[in-house]
Amino acid sequence: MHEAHSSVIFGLDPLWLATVVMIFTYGVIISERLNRSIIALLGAMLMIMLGLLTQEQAVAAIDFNTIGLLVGMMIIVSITRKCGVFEYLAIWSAKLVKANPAGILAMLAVVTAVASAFLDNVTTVLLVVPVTLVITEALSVNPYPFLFSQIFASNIGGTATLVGDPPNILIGGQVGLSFNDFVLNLAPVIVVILAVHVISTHFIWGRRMTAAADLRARVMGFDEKKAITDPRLLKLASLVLALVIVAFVLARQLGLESGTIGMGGAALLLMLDNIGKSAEHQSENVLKVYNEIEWITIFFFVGLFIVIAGVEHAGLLKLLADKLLAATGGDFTVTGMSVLWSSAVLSAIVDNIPFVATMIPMIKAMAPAFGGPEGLMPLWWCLSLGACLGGNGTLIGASANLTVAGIAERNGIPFRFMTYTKIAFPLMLIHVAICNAYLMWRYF
Amino acid sequence: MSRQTDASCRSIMSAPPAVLKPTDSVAFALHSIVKHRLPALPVVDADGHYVGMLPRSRLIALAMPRVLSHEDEKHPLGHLLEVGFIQDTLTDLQARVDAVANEPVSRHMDTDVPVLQPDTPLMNTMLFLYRRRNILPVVENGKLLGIVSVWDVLARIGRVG
Repeated sequence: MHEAHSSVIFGLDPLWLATVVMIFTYGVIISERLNRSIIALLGAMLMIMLGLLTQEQAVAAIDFNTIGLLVGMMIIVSITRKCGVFEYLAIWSAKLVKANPAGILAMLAVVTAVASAFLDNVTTVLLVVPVTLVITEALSVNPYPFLFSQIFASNIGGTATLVGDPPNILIGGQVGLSFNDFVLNLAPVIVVILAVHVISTHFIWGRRMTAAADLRARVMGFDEKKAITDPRLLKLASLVLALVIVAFVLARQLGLESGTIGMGGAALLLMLDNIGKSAEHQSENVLKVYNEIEWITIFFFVGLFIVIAGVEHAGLLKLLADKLLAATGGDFTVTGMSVLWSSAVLSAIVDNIPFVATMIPMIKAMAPAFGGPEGLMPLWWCLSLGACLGGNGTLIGASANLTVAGIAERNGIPFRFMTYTKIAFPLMLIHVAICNAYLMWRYF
Repeated sequence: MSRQTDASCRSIMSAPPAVLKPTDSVAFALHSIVKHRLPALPVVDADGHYVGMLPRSRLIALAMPRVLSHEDEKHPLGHLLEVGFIQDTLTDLQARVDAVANEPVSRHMDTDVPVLQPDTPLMNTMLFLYRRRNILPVVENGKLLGIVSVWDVLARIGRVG
């Protein structure tokens, strides 16, 4: 590699130039005119070519802890889902409530939320929604409330842990927060919000739902054991998932970072799934798993890390942090609540990943004003709760929402932006208000 | 026949044994497709314009829970891998088909089937058939000229019958 010093093209002011590149990049991301991974990479290349960053600085800006955790979890999920355990859980939970539609509405929300706490939200809904549609068809009930509820449950459940939602993976990776930090600080309020969500959907839809006895008998006749495709793989995958969670919990004692745990679990599960198979079979098997890694997300993150390093290097984020502090009068509570509410409302409208990725260095820059990095802890919880839960507000707020809407439309279930938003936005505001009360009570 | 005509799909095209109208019912389509033992039937409007194909897979789909036949190609993760947990019987399948028996064919036809021109090269036609298409419409200026079916082609290339 060349040892190059950053020198801005034509001697332009780096602060202005970096700002223009960032606004251009984010503008194109919001307009959705170009795939988000392409524009993030283009923005990153501009930062280097215009002399705002050297290649070394750009490479150093890519947070491989975050990337490792994302890729590792994607590999683990891609192998685990093959054994049919999620379909099993969905059917089992429906039978547990005697195939009563209102009961199923609540149970599937809980299953989705729990699964989502450990898996990516989009993956969770992709696994739960098809079974839901089989169940609602058998019961001859409107599937819309179930799908609506699962969108919310996936975003709520994902907020509870380090690995549940990309904003948390970003915050955890960049700030060095552990799995336990997330669970201990966020899970209590998430349990309350999930309960509120289950009760609200019951009052809006569940209490009026009925299904004839013969139709319920049909669902009771579903044999969940038949959903398990590979019992051997189920045991191996459960073992590895359990090991990964234990390692997350003991990360500090083990001296391991989350990226290492995620990738370690992935390597172990890949080995267990392939050992003893022929070389040809192994290559085919491994290639299938690698193909299921969401490369768009990975390249998006890589590009974004570099774009943000560019503006950070030019001093823009420090400037913005100072402005925010001046606006809040340096008051910790006002700053925290501004972060919570602005993250929630913005995340309902735009992609929360670039927002969170930009906020992280800005909040870090506030450390001197609030007693060092330790003092910033509550602000990270404000950011996470706002950004993750805000995604529920509109149909475009999170990728899981769009995924469910897409499946619904293909199955002839209308899923319109306004119909969704009219109920979702107020519910989201209630959830954020609960977070506001919790954060005030616990930290401010 | 000129060499050029020989190398096009015209040389293996045949007249469709039956066609459907967009307004025909699903029940009628099922009857025709079973009677002719065909993998698909072309759908043609009153003026002879080609509008789509009704493949037998679409009719099979009508007897299953809808989500099983609407798999999302963008998200292979969302495909149900094992559906043996659904304990439906023949009566359940018949009930699903009965529910849509009077719907028009136009609601269920496939409009994305690749369409051949009379001068489409024979090799391209063979490749389509090899890649799991059993029957293809041949269309000129919007009108259905004929079909290329896997049975006609097998009979010609093997000099059968």
